[in-house]
Amino acid sequence: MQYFEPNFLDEALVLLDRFAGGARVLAGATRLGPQLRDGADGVETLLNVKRVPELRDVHFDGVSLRIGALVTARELAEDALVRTHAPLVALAAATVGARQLRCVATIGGNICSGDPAADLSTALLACDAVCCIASIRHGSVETPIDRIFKPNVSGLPSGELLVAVRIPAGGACAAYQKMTTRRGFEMALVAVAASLSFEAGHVRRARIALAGAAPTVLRAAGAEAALAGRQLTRASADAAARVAADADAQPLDDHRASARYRRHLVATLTRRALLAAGAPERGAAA
Amino acid sequence: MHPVTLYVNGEKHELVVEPLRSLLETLRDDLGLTGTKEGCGTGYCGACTVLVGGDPVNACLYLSVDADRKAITTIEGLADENGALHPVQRAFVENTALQCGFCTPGMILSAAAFIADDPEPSESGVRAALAGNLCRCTGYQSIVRAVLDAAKHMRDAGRAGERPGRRALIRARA
Repeated sequence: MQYFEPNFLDEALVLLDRFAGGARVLAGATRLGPQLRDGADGVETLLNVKRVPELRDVHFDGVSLRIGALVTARELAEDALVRTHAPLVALAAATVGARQLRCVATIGGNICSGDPAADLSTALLACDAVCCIASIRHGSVETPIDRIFKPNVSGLPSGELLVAVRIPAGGACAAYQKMTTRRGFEMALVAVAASLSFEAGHVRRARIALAGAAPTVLRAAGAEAALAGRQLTRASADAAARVAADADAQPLDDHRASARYRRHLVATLTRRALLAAGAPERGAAA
Repeated sequence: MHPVTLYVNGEKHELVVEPLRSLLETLRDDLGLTGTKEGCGTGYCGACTVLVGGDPVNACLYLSVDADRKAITTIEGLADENGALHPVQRAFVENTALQCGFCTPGMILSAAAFIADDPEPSESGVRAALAGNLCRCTGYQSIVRAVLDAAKHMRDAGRAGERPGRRALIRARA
């Protein structure tokens, strides 16, 4: 197996292009490392991108927050810019694994894992995040994050590197609700990320994203539409939560939880997330 | 094979490693530092916890190539130059916070890193900080008590906020 540590973004892209489908990008290696050591098929070349400086930046330009793909969950949970401009991402990051994992696991790895219960991916969906992707063939392009996730697919197409995510500023009315069985250090059975914006006491725009409720992380589009234009009350939150559970979620049965229990969790956690996200606005109105 | 330079407990080691070799394998098999234990080998149990740049990581998942030019603290690097135990180690002994002892090195390193960040921890804070370290013998009561004791001892001794492994680094420079 060939191994490279490119120092510059262009160098990484040239290597990715040259080795195409046989190359894999290493970030925190918490997921890919064990897979490779168990003998993942067809991987001939490893690109450890830790030296590429662009991948570590967190930068706010007044309009959006740009987070480099190698920023770790711990940095996301603690970074002042992230907590101010993308608080939902900071909230979700604080629930990733245990501290040992948060110190190493990266936002780019979380997205590229394709895991249907990935906390950061779920929060980013509810933030309308955009993935900044670079390749030799297509240059730099921006792709809405909901187009990245496909069932049973991990990573990006061959030759492409996830450089950063860009998140529109705002999202102060946000909440992350996660169900686990031991209250620490666990993948979500189900998690719900909610981000709301209000206009004249009504929900202008709702973003609701679900983890563990389908073969991929998922936007609950039906529930978002059910809430848009309405006041946020217990009744409207409950109605939206039922749409999320009955129409949007496509939960799987597996050894961790039954589909029926997951559907129940989607309803409960969506209701809680909406009410928690709306609490500042509802408090102001009261 | 890839050359790396590791600074383990203040000592410099120049090695050549396979790209996927874990830090755990390098520490135990190449450097003979067997205080770091392999439990699950998949990043769940925390028995292999070591500090890289002061932060706890699972050495079974952490790649040796990623530890290149970084300061690593293992359980062998916590006691001072005279062999006096670190306050967290002493508190584990005094509180009998172990039974078989296999989880203890990782538990102690997680606790020492945590106390450095939070010199006045709450009980729930200790439990959250140790969520990634599993003990299958004693239960966690005596472990949590030991960490709270150690934090108090360090505050009383004027060592609040001291980074674990700092003394090993000072020793290496001397």
